[in-house]
Amino acid sequence: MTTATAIQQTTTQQAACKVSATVYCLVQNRLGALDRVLHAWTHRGIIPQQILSTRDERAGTLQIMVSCDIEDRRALDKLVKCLQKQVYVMDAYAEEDSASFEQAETETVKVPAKVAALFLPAYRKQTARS
Amino acid sequence: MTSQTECQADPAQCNPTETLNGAHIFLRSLIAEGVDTVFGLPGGVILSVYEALPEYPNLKHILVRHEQGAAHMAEGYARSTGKPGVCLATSGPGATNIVTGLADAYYDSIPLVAFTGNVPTTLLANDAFQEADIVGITRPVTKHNIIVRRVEDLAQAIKEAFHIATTGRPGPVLVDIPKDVLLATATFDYGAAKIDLPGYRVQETFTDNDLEATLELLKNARRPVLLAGGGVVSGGAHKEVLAFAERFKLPVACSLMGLGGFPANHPQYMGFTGMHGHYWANIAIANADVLLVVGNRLGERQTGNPDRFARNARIVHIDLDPVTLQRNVEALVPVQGDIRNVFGKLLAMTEDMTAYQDTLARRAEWYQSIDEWKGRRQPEETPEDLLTPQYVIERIFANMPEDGFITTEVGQHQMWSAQRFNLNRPRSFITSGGLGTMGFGFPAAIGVQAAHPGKTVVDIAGDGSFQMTLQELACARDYNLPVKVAIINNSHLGMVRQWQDKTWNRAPESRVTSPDYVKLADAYDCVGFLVTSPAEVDEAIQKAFAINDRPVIIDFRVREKSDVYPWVPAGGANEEMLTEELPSEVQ
Repeated sequence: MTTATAIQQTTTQQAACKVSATVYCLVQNRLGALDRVLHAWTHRGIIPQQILSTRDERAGTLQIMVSCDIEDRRALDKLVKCLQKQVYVMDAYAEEDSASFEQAETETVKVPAKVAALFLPAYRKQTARS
Repeated sequence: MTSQTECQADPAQCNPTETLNGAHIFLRSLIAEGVDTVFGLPGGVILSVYEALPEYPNLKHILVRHEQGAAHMAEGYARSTGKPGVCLATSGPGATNIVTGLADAYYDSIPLVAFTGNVPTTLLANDAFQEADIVGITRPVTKHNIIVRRVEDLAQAIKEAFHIATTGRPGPVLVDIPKDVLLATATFDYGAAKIDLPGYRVQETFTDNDLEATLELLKNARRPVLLAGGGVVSGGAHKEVLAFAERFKLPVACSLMGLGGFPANHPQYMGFTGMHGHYWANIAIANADVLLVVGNRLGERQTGNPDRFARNARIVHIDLDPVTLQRNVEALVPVQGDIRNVFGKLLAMTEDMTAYQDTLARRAEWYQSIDEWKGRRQPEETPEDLLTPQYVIERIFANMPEDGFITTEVGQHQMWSAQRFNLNRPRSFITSGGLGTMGFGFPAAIGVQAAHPGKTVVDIAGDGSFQMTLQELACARDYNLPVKVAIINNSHLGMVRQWQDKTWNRAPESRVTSPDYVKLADAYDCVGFLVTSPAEVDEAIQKAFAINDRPVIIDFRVREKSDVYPWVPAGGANEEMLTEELPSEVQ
């Protein structure tokens, strides 16, 4: 396969995606936890757009935010359920929000401190809801 | 210091503050978990475990010839007892050899705890001799896995592994222990080891509304069916499901993994469903107006084309695993919870059946339809002098004692066995459902036999499958495990040949040669019989069943080209199954 073909195929796959979403995940920060979470995307053939993670040393947790394009809402729901089932995952949920995804992509690369600012309010909102 | 023997005899007598090395901590932890049998093979990095092992004489070790065998034996032990199976392998190739067994256990929800050794922590990630990142390799095929890097963490890791493997939807857990962790010392206090898994919660989210909705659907049902899956067996819910099915007079079908979850001799039992399921059971599901799916993940081998599965039915899907619900088939009422608990509550809610008399009154008509479908299905006519695989398998089941166990390999013989299954207890049919592992049945049978001495254990095998793990004959002989291997020898990878023939009208590379199995049995100091005609079948089976001190192989030389019917071609609807004669019966 030539590089040109590969790029073309990647573009086509992305064009077929219907939902842009951000998945939030709070995991117990133990060895292997992050790998198991990220594997959920790999197994589905999804290349994340952006991955952010923040360690909370005091709580012993890792907060992970993954932005990606995914086939549809049902596929997104199944992805989240799969994450929720992982032994080290304490909470997982998704928000469909392509706008916030673009913002996160820009800001994180420049200022890692803003990762928490982007992530924690959304997490707090979710836990308050539940 | 408490002696090992005293400690083993009564774990409460173990000195709670003893300082032990990792190998002893490992073995003591197994005893504390109630483990009585470990299937394993020693190697460099776990020699310290084997050095300590003789000090624990009640912890039986079964020495295998290949680690894949150890994993499948542990599966057989677990599947037949409901207790977690335990296997042990060394690092590198020893560890990678158990991957198939882990995957098999994962897809069939089997509680398995696998232990592997690894190179010392100082050598990890150095491409050391016999190093493998087994935690990375097995991540997708385990419910959980962990590498223990400090001896102080070992007991907790083992405790968590058993907890995870056996609770919720069961599954395999791998614990990888580097060599230096096994050699280092720490204070051992298993009681003090705490499970620290705040994210791991076995939850039930079903509500009374879900149960009332289920009963409301049943109240108005004219053609209800209950489909029992492997969750009925693994969840220990067979009694509750039986009581509920009897109360509502529900016809019951079983998936491959659900066989034994409902008594096969029960008048409401329709049989096996799915790609090679019974004609009438598949047709009944296609015509059902209410379908209770219980402990079944509704995989494509079960549903055929999922968009057309039970399309006339309103579906109630009851399962402990939330991921299973609404995944492949949309249910009107998804009920997430422990099956035994759900049915316990449904039974309590229906002690007074006055409100359900109308639906019960309609049941005779529904059973009449099912009987008509059964009546239309004629058995194949077979020349009397031709040894067919179907006949051999029928005779094996006819001769099986009620307390016996059947294991199978994977392929045509597996489907014919599922169609002819006639036992009435859960955990009596041991087969590789999800992964479809050829080579599973024989080592699994050894595991079953190790757990159930004195019981009849028969591996119904294909000649292709048996050749994948037959080296375990030596293991079975060493421990005098009298497993019976019934080889349905058609000189082919039969299912492969069937698909090739029907799809492309030719079958390259599907023909396989075999050794002389009678001589092979003799070489392993086992017993072998050759059967070439129908007249010899019963006598050979009975002679094999009478042997109780070593494995027996029966080489049934059957017709080479028999096909499994019914057969739902991939992507088709179940009611469009291919049979010799019948058109679609969907009303």
